[in-house]
Amino acid sequence: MKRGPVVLAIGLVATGGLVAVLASGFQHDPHDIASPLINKPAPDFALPTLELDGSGKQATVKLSEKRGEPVVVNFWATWCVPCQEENPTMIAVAKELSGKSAFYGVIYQDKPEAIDAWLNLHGRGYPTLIDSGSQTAIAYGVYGVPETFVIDKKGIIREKFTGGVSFDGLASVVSALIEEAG
Amino acid sequence: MLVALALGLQTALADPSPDLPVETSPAAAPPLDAASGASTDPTPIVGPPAGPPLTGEALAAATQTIASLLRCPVCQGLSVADSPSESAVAIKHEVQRLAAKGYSKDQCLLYFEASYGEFILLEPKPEGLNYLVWAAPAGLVLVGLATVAWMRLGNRPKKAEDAAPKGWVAPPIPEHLAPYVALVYASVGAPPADGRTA
Repeated sequence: MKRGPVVLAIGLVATGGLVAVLASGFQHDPHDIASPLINKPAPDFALPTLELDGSGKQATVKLSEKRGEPVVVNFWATWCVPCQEENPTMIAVAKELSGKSAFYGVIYQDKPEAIDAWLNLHGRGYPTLIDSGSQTAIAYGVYGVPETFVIDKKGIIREKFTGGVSFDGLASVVSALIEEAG
Repeated sequence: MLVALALGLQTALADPSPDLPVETSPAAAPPLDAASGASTDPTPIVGPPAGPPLTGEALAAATQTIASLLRCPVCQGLSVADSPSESAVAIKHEVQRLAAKGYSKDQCLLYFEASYGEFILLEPKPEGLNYLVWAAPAGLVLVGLATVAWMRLGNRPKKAEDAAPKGWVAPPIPEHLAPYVALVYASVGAPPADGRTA
């Protein structure tokens, strides 16, 4: 049996397999990592708000006390350009669905002195929560910002947006959850 | 090259832009190191701690071991133990917190996998398609060795009686070359297969 063609075939199969594996890697966004938390209970948190209440104190938001309405949790940071770009959209969706859902921004690894100034500059539409030590971000498996989790009335994570959200994309998901029976 | 390109692209996409100009207002912002109210009890996910609480050198060693098995989520191929990034440091602190409570290595890995997915593990678990990761290199080496052996066997010099055409008779060795031929025979340690002698 001639060896040349056989060796060539082996080489082609090995090289073709390698190229196929690498090519498949180019067909998806490396940031678009599916969250294993979808359709799982949202990790609970009790985080202090950046904003002070009427008595000048920080309030605490506990997720488990928000059952009965969809909750949107948006992880963001002042150093994140896409966060700045999506901020008007997040505010617009929160305003559109006000009273039927709850929106929270969770600060992700940021300088304390930068946050309030950033919000004053770019606008704020809902409470901002402080995640000291990034424990909540870790519990939600946050790879980067912005990442937005949509939690249904029963406390189940139903959707995760990686990167900036669109008005229609986020509003349609939250609206559908509002319509669901609690 | 493709891998390098992919990694480079991923790095470029993952690189945050910390230079966004913002006005600062230190008085208005409360400190981030306020007591965290995050409820990150891993017990519902991984069960109660499997071992005793750790402190001191045992805690440091366990933290280092577990952190070395976790992938830094914002780096390229670096473990949490090796990365100085804020994300990696935060995860390392979380590992230390869990290990101090007595959660085992497997429990810690399971906890992070539950939130980040299997991507957070530097070593894929040996199950399902992941076996390919472990078996493919060994398989490729075996195929390569088999190919080389096959080719070497194919190129082995044939015996003179097999190689020579039927009826072929070796020409006599010229007398003036005989000493050199004898030296060659001596160096290879045997007379030629066709029985010629110098």
